[in-house]
Amino acid sequence: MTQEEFLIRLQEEVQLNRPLNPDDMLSDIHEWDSLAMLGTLSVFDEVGASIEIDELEGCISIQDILQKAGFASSRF
Amino acid sequence: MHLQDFDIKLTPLMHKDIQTVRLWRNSDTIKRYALNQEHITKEQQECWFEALRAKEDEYFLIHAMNKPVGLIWYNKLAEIYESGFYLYDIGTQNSLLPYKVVTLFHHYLFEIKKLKKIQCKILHSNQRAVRFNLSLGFKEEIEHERYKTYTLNYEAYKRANAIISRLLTQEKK
Repeated sequence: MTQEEFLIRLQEEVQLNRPLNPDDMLSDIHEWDSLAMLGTLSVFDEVGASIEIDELEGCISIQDILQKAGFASSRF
Repeated sequence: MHLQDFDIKLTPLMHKDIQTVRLWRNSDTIKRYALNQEHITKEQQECWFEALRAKEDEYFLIHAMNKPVGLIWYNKLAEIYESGFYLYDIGTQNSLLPYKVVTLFHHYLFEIKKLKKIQCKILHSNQRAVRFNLSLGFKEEIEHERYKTYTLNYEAYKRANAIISRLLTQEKK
């Protein structure tokens, strides 16, 4: 899965009606809640990556999540 | 009985805690999503707690990060058990704590108390709670003017719980 595909899956799980951007801050995403976080765990599961709950709860941006999933820190 | 798993603990609500719980319940944060939105007085809270002695209902304080952060319960109605919970501590709301709490409590209800089915009531205005409960396996049941009733049977609980528990407990590769 590419970074772009990962972001699309994340967008679906967060139930957001706009594309996610690496620069997005989680605190600015109204839909970012426990359900979105559980969905994020399932996307990690799909790509064969894993993240500890504490790490996910410590993420403050989409970029942080991308890095935890093993994507390079390059921007679109 | 204390319930413990993940990094959380559920302890039976004691008399010393009922006024703290009342303050939580009367806060705008919690009250706006309660079916009964009337202010609860100290005396009403004392009467409510006293009346619990004669009931099968159980209320547990939710502890996380070494402090009480919310309340979870079930009530026995005429033909079904009804559950509910809230987290008062704002720092816990955008976290996976709700799933940890409910996973632990549903294990208690379905695997220890051997309940076959539970229900909850959610105001139409609380769409976040609706989405959360649907993800737990609850199904829409009866629509009322202000709220809808949702039910969760043992089979649906097991299906949802298998996925949620696996995600919550997966080890870092």
